[in-house]
Amino acid sequence: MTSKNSSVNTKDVQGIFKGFGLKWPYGRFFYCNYSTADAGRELLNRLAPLTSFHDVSEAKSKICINAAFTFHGLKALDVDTEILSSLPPEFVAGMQSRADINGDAGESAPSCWEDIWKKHRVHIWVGVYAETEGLLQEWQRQFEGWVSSQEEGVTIIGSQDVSRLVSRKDQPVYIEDPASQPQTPVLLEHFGFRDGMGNPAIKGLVDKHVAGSGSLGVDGKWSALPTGEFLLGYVDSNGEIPIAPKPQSFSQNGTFMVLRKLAQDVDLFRDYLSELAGRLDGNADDIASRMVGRRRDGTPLIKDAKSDFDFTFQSDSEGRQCPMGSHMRRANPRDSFGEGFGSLLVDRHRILRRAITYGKLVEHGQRQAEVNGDDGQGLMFIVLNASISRQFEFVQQQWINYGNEFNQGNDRDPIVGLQEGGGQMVIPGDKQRKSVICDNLRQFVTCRGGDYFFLPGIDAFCGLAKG
Amino acid sequence: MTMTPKHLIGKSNPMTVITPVARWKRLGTWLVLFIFRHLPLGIVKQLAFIHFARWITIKREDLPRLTEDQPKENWPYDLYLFTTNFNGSWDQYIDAFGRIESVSKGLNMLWYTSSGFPGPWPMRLFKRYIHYFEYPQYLYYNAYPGAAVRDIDMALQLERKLDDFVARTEKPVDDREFEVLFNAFFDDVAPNLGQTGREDVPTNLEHRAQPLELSQ
Repeated sequence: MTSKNSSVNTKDVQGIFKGFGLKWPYGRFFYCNYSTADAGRELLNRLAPLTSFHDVSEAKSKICINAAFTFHGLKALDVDTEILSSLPPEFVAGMQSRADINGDAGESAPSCWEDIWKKHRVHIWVGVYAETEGLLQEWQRQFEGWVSSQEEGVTIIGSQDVSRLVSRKDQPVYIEDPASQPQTPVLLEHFGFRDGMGNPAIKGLVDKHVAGSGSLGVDGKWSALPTGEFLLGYVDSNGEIPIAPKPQSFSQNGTFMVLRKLAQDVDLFRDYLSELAGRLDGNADDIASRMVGRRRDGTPLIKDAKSDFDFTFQSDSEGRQCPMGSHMRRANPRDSFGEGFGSLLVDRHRILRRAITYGKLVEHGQRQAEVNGDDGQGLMFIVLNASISRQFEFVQQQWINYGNEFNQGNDRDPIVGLQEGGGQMVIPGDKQRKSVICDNLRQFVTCRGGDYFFLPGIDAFCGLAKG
Repeated sequence: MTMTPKHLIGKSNPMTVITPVARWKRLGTWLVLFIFRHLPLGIVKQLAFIHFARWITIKREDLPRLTEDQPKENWPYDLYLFTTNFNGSWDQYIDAFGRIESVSKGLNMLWYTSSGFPGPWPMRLFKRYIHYFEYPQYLYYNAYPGAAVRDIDMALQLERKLDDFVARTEKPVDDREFEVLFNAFFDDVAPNLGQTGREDVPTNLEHRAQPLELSQ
């Protein structure tokens, strides 16, 4: 069945495209390796059938399984040369080789990543999302049993627990100002801000919040972004079917997935803001929200916003409401690049984010070590896009780790940008609020590993399993 | 492989595109350029990543020769030279050309007489055309490698505001008054205070200069 007014067969698209949300809040990622193509196909057959977009929409199953391959994973399956030679170069190279482009240096340099990402051993990512912790344990027990019963070839080389965080009134996440605590339950990330608000509206697939999340025309009207920006085999915003691996049966309804484990240094973030606010006689939580670009509960900083989603930056060309250098504005600049262009210069660089947090929430007054020990907390950052270089890497290089287009010179994103000492973010004031310079920014978020994956359609996955 | 000396590379990228124009279209090309020289082009000013963009024609009989005894070329086309400097990435620059309707209309006119020009839409053909006729820069001199156009814009605004502030505080003012003036000045210039200078990672620039959306 296809969804209304859609040419997309949602039974052939993996469920993560829809997002697992709060219905399946317990997740575990398995990173596996197979030593032979036969062993790999055994594993694929074990995992099939994958959970589809349609299944997720209908909320039928209690547990959802999705999977994606690295280049080395496809190669180890002995797939046709036609497929291998038509894969985009950044995907073939893998995320480590693109460290310069992505700004993975310093503590985020690939040499500091977790061991499993070294030597291209991860062949397949298996994402399991369950309704309850018990179901997840049971699935893992059976899966591990199956793996050990295989005579040769399949290894689980690493796993990662993930879960959803939801704000609660009795679980404070503010730094100093209790009034900044979200009053209604919202999905949170570890710095205590509402997560998952910036996702695009996509024609035929995601029709929520078209006003604000879609593409803004020069006439000021919003429309959903073309399917082909995010899913292979469909028309994109240039009116063309974008470049995709061949043959079509391999790439149809598939997409590229970027997976990054982003560790969040909650202690450092709070300490930095307390110190800065103390020194400048400011409000630590207000400064934090200007760095992020939204309030903790997701409210936009733009005064004439029609809703949490529906707003433009037209009235704020200098960033006196929502700073030009804030994380939200950098990641999705909307109409920041000039009056009358709408989002024309942004649409080619939108990403679909399907991140999920890991680790327990560090409440106000707690330290990270007492909550999760060495495991820490952070975000499993997942991006789906038709072209990793045009979408994810572009955003990372041009907008996150460079400030030129926002009139911010070389200044980088204050939350996720690379900080090498001496970095700053300027928060221009308005009549009620003094201007602030966040100087000597620290590395609040560190990349601990990850790779580029190909997330095939359901049929293509079955095709790969058959060989 | 570029021969551009690395130490000259700054935050801007050069682009040189030379397209052939059939000789019977010479008058048309001249007319287009004449019209463009006399048009108010406000839109280009909004596209702050363009330093400048220039189109000139080189007549086939005026092709340069190194010495007098070098035989004259009998080349069937005039050459149409487009040269520009821009900040940001190659694709983004060309995207702006194709996606912004008023710009793309202008470009359609400017390259209208060039042989084989597919028009600015569909984008992939347009990009392929530009890339095909793009020539590598063997030498590129950049007097201010640490500044992009936007950096200079911001610095000029800052300079004007600073001069104004200095003039206001020239006469003796008391501490309280100075504080008020200074805070007002700081709020005023806050949007202009991004850090500039050359970037640490040279591969960033090389990557930006590469077209990403050509294949297939």
